[in-house]
Amino acid sequence: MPNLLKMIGKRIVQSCITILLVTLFVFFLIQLVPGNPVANYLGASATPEQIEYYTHLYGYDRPVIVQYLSWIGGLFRGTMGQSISYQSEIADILLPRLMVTLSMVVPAFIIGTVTGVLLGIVSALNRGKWLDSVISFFANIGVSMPMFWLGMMGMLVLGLRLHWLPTSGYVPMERDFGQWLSHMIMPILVMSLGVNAGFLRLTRSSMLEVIRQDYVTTARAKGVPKNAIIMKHQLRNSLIPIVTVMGSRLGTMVGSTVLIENLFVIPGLGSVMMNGISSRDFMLVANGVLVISIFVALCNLMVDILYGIIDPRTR
Amino acid sequence: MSEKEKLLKIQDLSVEYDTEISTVYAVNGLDMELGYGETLGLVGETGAGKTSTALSIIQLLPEGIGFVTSGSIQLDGVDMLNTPEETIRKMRGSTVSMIFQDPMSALNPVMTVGAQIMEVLKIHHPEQSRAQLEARVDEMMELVGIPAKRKTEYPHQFSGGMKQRIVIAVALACEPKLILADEPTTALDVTIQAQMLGLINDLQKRLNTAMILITHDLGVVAQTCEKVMVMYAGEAIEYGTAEDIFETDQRHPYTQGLFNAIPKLNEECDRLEAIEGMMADPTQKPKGCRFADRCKYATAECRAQQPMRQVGPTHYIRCRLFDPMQSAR
Amino acid sequence: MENTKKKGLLDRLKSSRVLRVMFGRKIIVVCAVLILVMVLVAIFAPVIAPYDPNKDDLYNVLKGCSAEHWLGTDSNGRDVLSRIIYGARVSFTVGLVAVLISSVIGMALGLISGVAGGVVDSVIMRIMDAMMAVPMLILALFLGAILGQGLFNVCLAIGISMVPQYARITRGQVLSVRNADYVTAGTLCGASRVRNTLVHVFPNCLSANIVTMTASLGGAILAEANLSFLGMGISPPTASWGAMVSGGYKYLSNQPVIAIAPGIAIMIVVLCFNMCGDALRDALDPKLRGTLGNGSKKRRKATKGV
Repeated sequence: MPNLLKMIGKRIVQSCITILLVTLFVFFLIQLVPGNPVANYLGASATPEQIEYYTHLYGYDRPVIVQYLSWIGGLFRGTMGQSISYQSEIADILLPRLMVTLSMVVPAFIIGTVTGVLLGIVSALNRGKWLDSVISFFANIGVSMPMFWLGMMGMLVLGLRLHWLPTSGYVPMERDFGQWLSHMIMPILVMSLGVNAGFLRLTRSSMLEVIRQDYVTTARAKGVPKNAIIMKHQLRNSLIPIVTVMGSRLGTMVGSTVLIENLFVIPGLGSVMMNGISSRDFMLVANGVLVISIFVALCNLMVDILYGIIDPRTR
Repeated sequence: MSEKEKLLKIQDLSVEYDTEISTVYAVNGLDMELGYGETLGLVGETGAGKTSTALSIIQLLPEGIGFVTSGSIQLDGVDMLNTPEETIRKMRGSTVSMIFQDPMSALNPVMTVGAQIMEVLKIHHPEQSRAQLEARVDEMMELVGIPAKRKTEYPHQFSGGMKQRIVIAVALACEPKLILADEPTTALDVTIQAQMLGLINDLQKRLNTAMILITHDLGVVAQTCEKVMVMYAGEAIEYGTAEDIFETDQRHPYTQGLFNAIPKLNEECDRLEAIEGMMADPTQKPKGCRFADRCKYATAECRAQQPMRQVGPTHYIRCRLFDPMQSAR
Repeated sequence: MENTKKKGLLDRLKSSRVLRVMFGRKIIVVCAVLILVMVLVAIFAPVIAPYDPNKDDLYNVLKGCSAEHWLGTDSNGRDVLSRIIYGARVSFTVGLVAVLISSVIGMALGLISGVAGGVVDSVIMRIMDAMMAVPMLILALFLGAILGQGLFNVCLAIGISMVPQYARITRGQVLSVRNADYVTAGTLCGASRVRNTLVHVFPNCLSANIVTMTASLGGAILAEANLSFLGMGISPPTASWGAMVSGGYKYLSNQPVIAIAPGIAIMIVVLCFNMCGDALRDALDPKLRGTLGNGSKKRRKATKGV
C-alpha cells in the first residue's frame, strides 16, 4: 500500500505539471490571435476611446507575462478573469455550466461503459458466431457515426415523429426533475452510445487477447470450469486495458458535449465555449479548455488508483 | 504386459492446424504407450509436433484451429476423443496436468500464487474444508521449496525459477497420474534447470506419477527419462529405452545428427556438426521418409512410406537402413 | 518482358501474407472497394455531379426526392446529391492532409524524443501530455477558432490535435528497438547516430504508424464533420458533409433527407476506413498470427467418431 500512495503522489505532481503546461499552451495560443481582444469583440463600430477604455479595464494593456501571471495567480484564488462577452467573472459563468454538463456526461458514461463492457464480453465469448457478428457490426457503425447526426436522427424519430420526448431544450433539475429527465434522456442516450461502441470493441479485443494468454491455458489444464475461467482469469485481466483508457474516454465525452449541447440547446460548458468562440472571447474559451483538462486530469488520477487496485503489479 | 496396465495409449494420432492461409499437419499417425509411473522423453526440434501431441492428450488444442483428425487416445482407460468435455475437464488437473514452457506467463498476474494452487485443489476436492485445503497449499509450497508464508504474494514478486516451482506445485497438487512437461526448463537459467529437473523427478518418484517430458535437449533426457521418443516433422522416428538410444550404434540418421550436434568435452573439435537443411514443410502431407531431403544416406527407396522397424527388444527405428529384427516373442 | 515483370509483382502481392490476411475477409474487400469508388467520385466530381453544387435555384427550394433531384434540394435550391459528391472532396482532402501533417510532425517528435532522450525527451513528452489532457475535439476546435476558417487551417487544426498519438507511438517503438541487437550492431560498425536512426530505428516504427494512419483517417474525417457541424470548418458555400447536416437541422421535420443523406455518407466513409484500419492492424500484428482460424466445427465433429 505505501507503494500505491507513493505512486498516487507522483501522479498528482505529474498532473499538476501537465495542467501548468496546458495553461501555458492555451494562453500563448490565444496571443496568436491577431489584433486586440477588445477590438475583436467590439467590432468595427467601436470608437478608439471605447477600445482603449475596455482594454485598460480588462488589463489587456499589460505585458503578456504579467497578464499570464495574474491569470495563474487568480486561478489559485478561484478567479479566472473577466469575460468580455459576458461582462462578468469567468469562473462564475463556467462552473454552473460545468455542473449541467457533468449531470449529462456522468450518467451517459456509466450507462455506456457498463453496457459496452457487457456486450463486449458477450461478443468475445461468442466469437465467430452470428451474435458476435451482429454486435461487432453495430459497434463498428457506432464508432463511425457522427454523434451530432445520431442526435439529430433521435430528434427526428423520437421527437418529431413519435412525440415521445421533447426535441431540445433544458429544464434545471431543481425546478422539475421529471422535465429535466425527459429533456436529458436523448442527449444522454446519444452520448452513451458513442462510449458504448468504443468500450465494446475494446473489451472484445482485450478478452480475445487474454484468451490467448498462457495462464488461461494453465487454468484450463487445471480443470477450471469454463465460467470460472471467464470470471476469475479472463475478466479481471481484460479489465486492465479498459480501466487505463477510462479517463481519456471520459475526457473525449466531455469534449463531445460541444456537439450535443449545441444540437439539443443545453446551456452547458460546451455551448458556453461555442458562444465564446463565436463572439471571439478567447479568454473564456481558454478557461473552458483549462476546466476540461483539469477534469480529465482528475479522472486520470482516479483511474490510476483503480488501476492500482485491479493490477497488483503496479502496487 | 496386458493392455490394462498401460496409463496412456495413443494410436495413429494425427493433428492438423487450420490457419488463415494453410493447413499445417502437425502430427501424422503417431503411436505411443506409457505405463504408470514411467517417464518418457519426447525429443525433437521446434515444430516436430511434440507440443501438439501433449495438447491432444490433455485435449487443449487451440479451439477452432487445432483438430485431432484421426486416431485414438486412451488415458487411464478413458477414450479422450469421445468423452464429454465435462468429464475431460474433471480429469484435467487431477488425472493429467501440464507444465508449460514459460513460467513467466503461465501464472495469472492478478491472483496470488496461493490462490492459484488453491484453485486446482478446490475444483478436484470440493469435499475438503477450507482449512484442509489451506494446509495442502502450504504443504505443496514447502514441497517445491518455497516458504508457505509467501502464498499471499503475486507472481511478479517471484523470480523465473520460483515461478516454475509454483507452476510445478499447481501441476502436482492433486497428484495426477500423468504430467505433461512441455520444455519446463527451457526458459530458465542453466543452474536452475538442473534444480528444476531434480525437483520434478524427485516429486514424480515420490508420487508415482508418469511423465512425458518434452524437450529438445538430449542431456535433459539422459538425466531424467527411462524411455525416449524422437519426433521429426510430426512422426515418431525412433523409440526405445534410454539405453537403446544413448548406448547403441543403431540410430536413425536424424537422431545421430542430434548427437553429433552436442559438443563433446573429451574430443578436439573445431566445429560442431549441424544437420544440414531445413525441416520438412509442415503444410505438405508426408510421402515416405520426411527426413530424406536432409539425409546423407537417402536413396530413391526412401520416397516410399517407411514403417517403424524393430531393431532391438525395445528399440524401434523408422528407417530403411535397419533390418527389422525377428520378433522376440 | 514487360508482361513477366508485371506478373512477378502481382504474384508477390498475392503471396504477401499481410494482404492475404487483410483481404481474406470479404467485408474488408467491400470496404476497400467502397473507399476506392468514393475517392474516384471525389476526383471526378465535376463529371459525375448532375448539378453545380453551389448554384442557388430559388424556384426549387426544399424539393423532395425526385427524378431530377435524387436527394432533393436544400433551402437554397441546391442539389443535395451534387453537394454530397463535392463534399467527398473536402472530407478526403482534410482527412489525408490532416493525417499527413499529424504523422510527419508526430513521427519527427517521437523520433527526436526517443533517440535524444534526457531533457529533450521529457520536454517533448510533457508537451504531448498537456495536449492529450485536452480532448481532441476541443483542441481542434480551439486551434480552429484561433487559426480561422479555411481548408488548410481546418487541416492544420485537426492535424495538430492528432500529433500526440503519433509522437507517443513512435517514441515507444524507438525505445523498444533502440537497444535491439541490430541497432547496437550498427553502432559498433561505426554508423553515426543519425544514420543509425534513419536506417535501423525509423523503419521499425513505420508499421505501427501506418496502422494508426489508416485508423485515424476515419477519425480525421469525423473531426472535420464535427467542426463543420459547429460552423468552424470550411467556409460556406463550399459543400461539406458536416455543414450540410447542420444546415438540414432547421428542415428536419419537413425535409429530413437533407440532414440524413450527408450523415450516411460520413458514416460509410468512416466505417470503411475503420474496418480497413482494424484489418491492417490484425494482419500486421505478429501476436495474432495463426490465430485467425477457419473455425471449421463441422470437421471436428466429423472426426470425433473416428
